Parts: sequence; structure tokens; C-alpha cells
Amino acid sequence: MTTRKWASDSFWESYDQNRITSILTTVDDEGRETKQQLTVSRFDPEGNPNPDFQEILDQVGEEKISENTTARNERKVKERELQHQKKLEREKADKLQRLFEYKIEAFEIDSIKNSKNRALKSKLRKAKNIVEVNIFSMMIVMEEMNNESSAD
Amino acid sequence: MSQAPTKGYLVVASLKFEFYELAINLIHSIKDFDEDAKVCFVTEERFCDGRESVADHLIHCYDHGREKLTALSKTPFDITMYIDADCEVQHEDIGTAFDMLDGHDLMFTPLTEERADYFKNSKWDHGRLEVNGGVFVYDIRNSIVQDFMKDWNHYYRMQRLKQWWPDMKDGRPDYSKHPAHLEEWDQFTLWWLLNHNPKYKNIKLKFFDEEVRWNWYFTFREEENYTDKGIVIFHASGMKIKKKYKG
Repeated sequence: MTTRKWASDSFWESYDQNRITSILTTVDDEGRETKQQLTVSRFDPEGNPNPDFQEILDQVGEEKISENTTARNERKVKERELQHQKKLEREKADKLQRLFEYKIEAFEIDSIKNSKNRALKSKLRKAKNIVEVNIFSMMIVMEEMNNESSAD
Repeated sequence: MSQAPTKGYLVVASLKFEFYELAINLIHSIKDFDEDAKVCFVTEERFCDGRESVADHLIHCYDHGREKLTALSKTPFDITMYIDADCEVQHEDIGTAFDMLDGHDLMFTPLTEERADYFKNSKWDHGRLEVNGGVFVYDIRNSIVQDFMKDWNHYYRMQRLKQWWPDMKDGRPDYSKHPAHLEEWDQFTLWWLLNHNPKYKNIKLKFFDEEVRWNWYFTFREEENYTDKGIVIFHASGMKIKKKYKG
């Protein structure tokens, strides 16, 4: 005889508690086990009670299903928060990478590399974004150009 | 009257030309913030294109990925600050590191448990790495420190050749306590020397004050970005930037 067992971690799929998501494990006469994840409605399309739904309620219990649903929702909120945080971290790391790369290019410009203006070079090294890099790079280059003109 | 110790920075770039490029940027950044800085640059002769002249001392090395370990005992300075090539100095406080050593033999930044996620393979069932070997200061005048640097190099090379491991069985490494994936790490050798080699049990070790400023990884989370005083050393470890600068 085939046995049917609904998973103990079944949860309400809808707030009106008319649908349950669960895993059904069936074992046939020859001992072959099959697992299916199913979302089961309280009523069939004709509005008749669904025996599978009742079977889950009988096996797992409404209270347990509600507890599972609360725990699952809390877990999902935490997972979403973590995903969001990781996304922000990735974005921040990408931004820092672009900034570092950009600064290295700025410091490869001879007039910046060879500038003796340590105060401005220090500001350029500490630049927090690409706009700051551009501003301080330009200030250094302009100063070097002015120095060259005065020397001429 | 005893002579004041000589102090300087050690930067090493081997194996890949992009490390040479990054090292040049690092040396310039050191000199931007420490006007009197003396820098010893250890790199491969084939990479040198004239820019290496920014350094005060130049030592040519082989094309091994861990020439750093050979270089450590060859420093021309009494007190040396070693900085990984993929770093950039961003603060005037850089020059204060030498005095911060304050009579100790070695000064590192810690690899805290909370930060273990940032460092690949830094944990295993029976332990975890505790110090970060990317930035550190050492006083080579003490012979135990000289021995330590030589042993770090020696044990690491032996571990790569499978001729040394904390546990050996029938002449081969036994990975039951310390798994094989740690074998590629010179940081693992460092951890073992500091924690399990009796020769170094009395070595005077300290961590940088306000350590996060001194080896700030670009991947650190926001809450670890307590940089009111500013990042001193920015560590670009893991940035894809290296690919862009291939020679």
C-alpha cells in the first residue's frame, strides 16, 4: 500500500490560509520513495473541499503550520536584509576599486607624480570620489604649468 | 652613546609585472606622506623600466611568488616596515609606525574572527589564522627576529615541497589537524611559528594601535570603517585592477 506523508515544515502560502505549500513523500508498494513540492488549495476549482488539504491539516496541524509560516517569514526578511547588505557592500567595493584605479592613472601623469606640493598630493591620495580626484589633479597640473611659465 | 636605529620601508614585487606597477605607486605614496622615508625595493630585474629609481635601495630577486619571505631578512634597515605591493599609503601617520613598535620585536595587524570572512581559508576545524602578514614592522637587530624571518621563508618553502608540516606521518604531511588547503599559505607558516614553535615563544609581539587604519581592506564592511583619523594604509588585495596593469 502506498503511504503518503506531508512535511512537518509545511506553511501557509496565502494570508487567507487557503493554500499550503508542503513536500509530499510517497512510498509505493515496492518501497520506492518520491518527493514532490506542492502548493495545495483548500478548495478545488468547483469549490469542493480538497482532500489533500485536509490531509495536511490532519498530519501537521493548523497551529504548527502557522508557527512554520511565522518562522519562515522572519527567516525570509533576514535573508532579504542580508542580500541587500551584500549588494551594498559589493557596490561600495566596486566604487572603491574604480576610484583606486582612477587615482593610479592620475598619479601616472608626470606633472602630478613629480609635483613637490605635498599638501595637494596628500589630498589627492585621500580623495573619496572621482570628482575630488579630478579637482585635485587639475589643481596640481595647473600649479605645475604656472611654475613652468614663471621659470620661462 | 648608542646610535639611533635606521628605519625604512620594504616593498617587494615579483612574479607579475602588475605588482611592480602597484609597488611603484605604493613607494610614491610612502614618500608623499613621509618625506624622509627610505625605501628598499625588491623586484625582478626584468621588470625594471627606470621607475624603480624612486626607491633608495634596490635588490633584484627571483621570479617566485613569495620573494617577500626571502627579502625580509635582507632588509638594509634596523627597523623595517614591510607593506604588500598592492597597498597605498594615505595618511601622514605612516611615519609613526616605527616608534609604535616601542621595544617589541614584531608588530602586526590582527586577523580577527569577525574578519575571517574576508580572508580565504583562514579558518579550519582546529584553529584559525590570527595575524595578517600584509603589513608589519620588525626590528632585525634582535637575532631572534633575524632567525624568525629566515625560518618563515625556510618552513614555507619546505611546506610547499611537502617536506614540512605541523604533523608528519611516514615522511609525508598529515592533514588531519591542519588541512591541505592551508599549504599554499605563507600566513599559515607565520601562524605556526608564532603559536607553536617553542623557539619563538618569547618573541615580543604586539598589534598596531588602532589597527584597522593600518591595513584597511577595501572590502571591509561599513561598521569597520571607523576611520575618523583616516586610513593610513589602503589594501587593494583582491581588486581586479591587477589585470588591467599587465605588462
